[in-house]
Amino acid sequence: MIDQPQKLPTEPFSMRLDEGTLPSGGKYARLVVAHLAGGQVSVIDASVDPPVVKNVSSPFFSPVDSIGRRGAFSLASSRPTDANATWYLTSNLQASMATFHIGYLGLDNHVVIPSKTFSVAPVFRILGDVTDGRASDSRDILFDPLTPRAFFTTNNPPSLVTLDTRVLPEQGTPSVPANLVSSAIDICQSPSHLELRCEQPGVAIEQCTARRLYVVCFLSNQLYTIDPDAAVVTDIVLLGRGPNDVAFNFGAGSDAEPAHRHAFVTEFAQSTVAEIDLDPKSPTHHRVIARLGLPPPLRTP
Amino acid sequence: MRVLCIFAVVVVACAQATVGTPSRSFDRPSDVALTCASYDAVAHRFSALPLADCRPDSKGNDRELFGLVSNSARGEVALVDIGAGVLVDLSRSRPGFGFIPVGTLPEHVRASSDGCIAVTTNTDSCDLSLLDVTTLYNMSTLVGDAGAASENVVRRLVPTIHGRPLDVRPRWIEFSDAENPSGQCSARSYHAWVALPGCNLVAELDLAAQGQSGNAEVVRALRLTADGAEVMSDAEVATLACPSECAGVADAATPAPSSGPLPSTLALESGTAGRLFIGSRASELISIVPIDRASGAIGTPRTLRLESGAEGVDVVRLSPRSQAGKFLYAVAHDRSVRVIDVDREKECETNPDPRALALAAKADADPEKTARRYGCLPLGDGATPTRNAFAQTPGIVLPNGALPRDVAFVHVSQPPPLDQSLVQQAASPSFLVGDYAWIISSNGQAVLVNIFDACPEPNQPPTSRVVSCNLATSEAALMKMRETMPEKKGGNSAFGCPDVIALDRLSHHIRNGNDRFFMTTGESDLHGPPRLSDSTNPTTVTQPTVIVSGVVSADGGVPGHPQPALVKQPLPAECLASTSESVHFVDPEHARNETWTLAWEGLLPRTVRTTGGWNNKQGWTDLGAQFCANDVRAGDKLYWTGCVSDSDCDSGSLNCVRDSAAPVSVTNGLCLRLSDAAACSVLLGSVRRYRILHARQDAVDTSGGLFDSLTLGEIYEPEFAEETTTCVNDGDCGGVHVAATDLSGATVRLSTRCLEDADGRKRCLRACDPNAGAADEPGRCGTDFQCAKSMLGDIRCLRAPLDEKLMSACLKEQQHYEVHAGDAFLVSGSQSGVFSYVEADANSHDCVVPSPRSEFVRLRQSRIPLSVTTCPAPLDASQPLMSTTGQGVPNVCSLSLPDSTWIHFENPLFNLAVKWPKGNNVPDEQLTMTFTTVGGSIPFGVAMHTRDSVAAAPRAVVTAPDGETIYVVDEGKQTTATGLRGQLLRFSSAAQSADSIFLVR
Repeated sequence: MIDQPQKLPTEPFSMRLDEGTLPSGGKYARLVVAHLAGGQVSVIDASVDPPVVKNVSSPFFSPVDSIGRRGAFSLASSRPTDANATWYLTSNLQASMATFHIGYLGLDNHVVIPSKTFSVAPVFRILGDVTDGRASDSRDILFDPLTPRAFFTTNNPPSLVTLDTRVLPEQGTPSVPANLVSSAIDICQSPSHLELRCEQPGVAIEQCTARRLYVVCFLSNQLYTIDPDAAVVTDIVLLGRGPNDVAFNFGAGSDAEPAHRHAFVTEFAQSTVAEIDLDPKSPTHHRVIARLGLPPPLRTP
Repeated sequence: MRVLCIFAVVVVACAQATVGTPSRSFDRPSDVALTCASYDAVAHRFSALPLADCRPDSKGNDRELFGLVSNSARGEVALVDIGAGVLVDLSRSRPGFGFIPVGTLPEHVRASSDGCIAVTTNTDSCDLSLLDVTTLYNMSTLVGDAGAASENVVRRLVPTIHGRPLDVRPRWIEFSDAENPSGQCSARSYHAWVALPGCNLVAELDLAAQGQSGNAEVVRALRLTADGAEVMSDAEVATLACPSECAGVADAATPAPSSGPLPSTLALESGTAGRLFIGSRASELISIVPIDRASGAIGTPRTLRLESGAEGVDVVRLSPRSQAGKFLYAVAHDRSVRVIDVDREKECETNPDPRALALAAKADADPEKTARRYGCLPLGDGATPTRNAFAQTPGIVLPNGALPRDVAFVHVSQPPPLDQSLVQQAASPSFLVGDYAWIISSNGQAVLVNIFDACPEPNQPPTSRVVSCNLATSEAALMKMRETMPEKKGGNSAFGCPDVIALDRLSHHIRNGNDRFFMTTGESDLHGPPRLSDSTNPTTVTQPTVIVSGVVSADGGVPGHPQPALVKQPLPAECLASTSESVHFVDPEHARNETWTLAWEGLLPRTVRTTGGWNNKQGWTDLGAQFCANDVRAGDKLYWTGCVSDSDCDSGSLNCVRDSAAPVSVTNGLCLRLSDAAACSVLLGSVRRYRILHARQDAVDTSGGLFDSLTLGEIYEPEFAEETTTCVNDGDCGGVHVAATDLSGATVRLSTRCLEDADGRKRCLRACDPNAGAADEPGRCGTDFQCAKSMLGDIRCLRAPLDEKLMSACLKEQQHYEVHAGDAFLVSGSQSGVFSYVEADANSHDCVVPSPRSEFVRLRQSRIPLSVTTCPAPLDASQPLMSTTGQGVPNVCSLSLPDSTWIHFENPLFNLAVKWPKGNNVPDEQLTMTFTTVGGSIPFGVAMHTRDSVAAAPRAVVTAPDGETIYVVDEGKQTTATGLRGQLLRFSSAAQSADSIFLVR
């Protein structure tokens, strides 16, 4: 198993590049991949050329559904660039979230080591002891770089959920993150990707006092902007059909401040990319100002 | 006939191509304001009325209740005919329902006290929309295009200072106007207080602007700081600048967004001498601003600091006055609802420890006598009991981790409608008379909270329809119920001896949904007070046939050795159905139907893992094991379970190797290369168990890496503290022997010597000589112990050796293992689980019980060792189940009796005492004692559902003029394109259910 290239499980779905400096001073770089159906997490050592599959975890999220799926949808490190960080894994089939570490010493090197799995279901509707499918469809997840909390989207009900990951004194489970849902905001249908940006030009996210979460919703063709500190929706941007992913021309490690802030959203169902004006001084603020590509014609000649 | 044929064709066609037509018009409704109107049938015209005019007792039968619902996603307000349960089509000439456009993201909507106007706060357009409600009503009666009318309905108002836009997002709003004495919707001016969190401001706005748009000038303003609210002078208001949140006109003079307290919710007290209560998202202060409604004068603001941990407030709601007092409910960020007594301006403890004497004592039959006293237990007051060990906050916490969203107060003065010929209903959980709060929660439930329960249980059926509850008969009813016990009447019984305690009278308690005074049909009936399901045979003691990982116990089934039992304590004489109790429930509100197990050296939950490793520096390591969180501590035992088959070994080059000469109890192998089998044979032949000397979590190694680890020690024979003694020399060990069997199968007693134990102390332990041969006494050890070289260098009887070279050589990959409680019974409930609290020490990272212990920590220790300190007086053999709260002793202590030891144990739910026969050193391996508890309490929560859907994300709730019906805004969506995008629900307090016919969506 260790130091041997492996065949990856099926359906690699979500991936994060985790790179940084080890406590010992050495560098590390690894790709961490979630496998949708099988529920495994793979670790690929990206510090070597060619990269090597170092470990495939046992499946998370038991039991499987009626056709054998577990739904490992997205994953995120609680402290990117920290090799000791706890990783969180969402499932779009189960009302729980799994946590794990990735070892880097001895027998643990590059090995996915499961930690606690916790339920996110009770916050939502429960019939008896059965969750009725609620909260069993978690999607994207990201961590707040400022405070110990994570944001994740759920599809049922369509919500943006804030997860309190502080270690709280004298709580039910001591010495570990509380992993308690602290807020749930109703958002648009089929939320997919999630991004965090600072609204203040030229201000790093760590110093920002006006931050916004951007959630893309595939089914409702909308981009929601949310104030994560006030836990409220601040605007709704109408998009073309089937928006899926969002990118920005600022932030996320880039110090350069563009002349005009824009977001770009892939519109899966109409084969286009929308360009959204994010300049608050602009009369077209939070409107689609350009569309890259053309929707397919009604009939092909 | 021809028509029918056409109809049939259409039906068939429809059946062939079903079109999923959306069955909704709302889109993310965020709030509702109720209004009242009268309809002039002659003039065909509606007139606005104050909401109070729609009370059931008001004059006139032409009154109709309406609702204004803000739809945040589309920026519109819908008009709902509440009586008919339908959306009003405001533009009949156009498709759809013609909602009124107001502005982007309308978050809150409020109607003025005279019902003439309403206002929305539009958080994304940074303005307000003023709605002419009278015109709105009459739009629905217009024939043709209502566009012109709609233009006169809405006026967009921008909050300004001397005409300069504030450009901040308005949030919560409350009208500040007194009653409209004229009752006419003339062009009078209206004022409203609005929260502007982006500017840390609460401002009073003049809404008098005319025309379709205009300014809402700031009349007065309160600045919110970290210390509370400050009244701003006119000069300060004149120069006020706020961060630009909408228009993007920021310049050098525009301040950058700041964090600050972010005021976001308001509650305005009615009456001449009113108060404005301000809650903030990022502050634990509630600001209280006195406002003379007659003169308009603002007094000096005061602050009330919520107990730490609230982390901010989302919603504040002010209750009407009841016999219990007047209260502010604050929905806090810690998932609790904090309660403030606004008369005393003190936060209330809603989770008192029921073991406190005053709350355990009998309550007065008439709840009104003690209503004010139990209306609030002020925090910081010396008479207020300590906190319940289940609670970490003074606030109301909803079951199942649900998030509270909003609160509505109701007063139910009549029972549900009954036929005149029927006997009136007796008091029960669903029989409401008095004052209550409904807390709506994120899981689609409405949870009922008692404020003043005017008809508490038990009670006789009232005799009058006017007086719905005879308030003075509780005590009499209780005695009457006891007198109907089977011994006397041959009928129902009151097993568990229910009694009315002060806790039953406490305000701000989630109502008990289980009838504690229910006339049980038998002892095992799941209703009624908490008790054991079988008081005659309270416990079942078993010896499991399987010890661990498939190893079959030698003496499976019911053990033949002396067994532990629960000690019984006499009950008061009036408890006729039972004369004694084996478990004393200290907190009837948290007791559930469940089975409790006391397992000797029981398995700790969540410690069965597959990722154990070995490191000569750190010992047994497992990065994600979270040992402290899982209650592992020094003295516990690691069972290195190993593998069952080759598939347990991850690497293709390793096999699951066994030793055929291993004891019968060792059935599992280890993942090894076959070539290493010989070197590891001593481990293969061992019962691989180790004593945990240190458990650590999140420790840091010299390279900065985190690790969770166990420092292990060997387990020597005899294994348990109760079987040996500390010593100085071998002469002290004459009375300590080890039982073993000789070759003939006979039991022999082997001598011990004074040897150093794994923890460094000297104890009487069994030394041995491996060269002496199994038949000779010096070479012999007890069952499942082997004679081997110890980590201390000598030869002795031990479970399994702990040799660094051996461990390094034989741990080729991560290992299967589990952790068991050491030398103690582990107490666990099938519903409650194992109560535990162990923290990682900040310096050593050792898993330790923090000291000094709070009640929360003290009662969350779930182990019952056999050797514990003596119980303090007055706890004695006559009352072995009484609580030791406040005496500074652990939750386990012992009473010594001539033939046995009674080990008293407490947890947050109950007290019990285990009777353990003297001379019987330790229980058999994995011996378990189980008992079943029934009755107790369940929180009174009701799922809010109509006939075809359940509330997905309740957002806001208001109380109807009748005082008992509530209307709930559910902003949640369904997951399909044609599914609901929000709805308005009608919920009856008397019936405790949503109106399944009321479908407004």
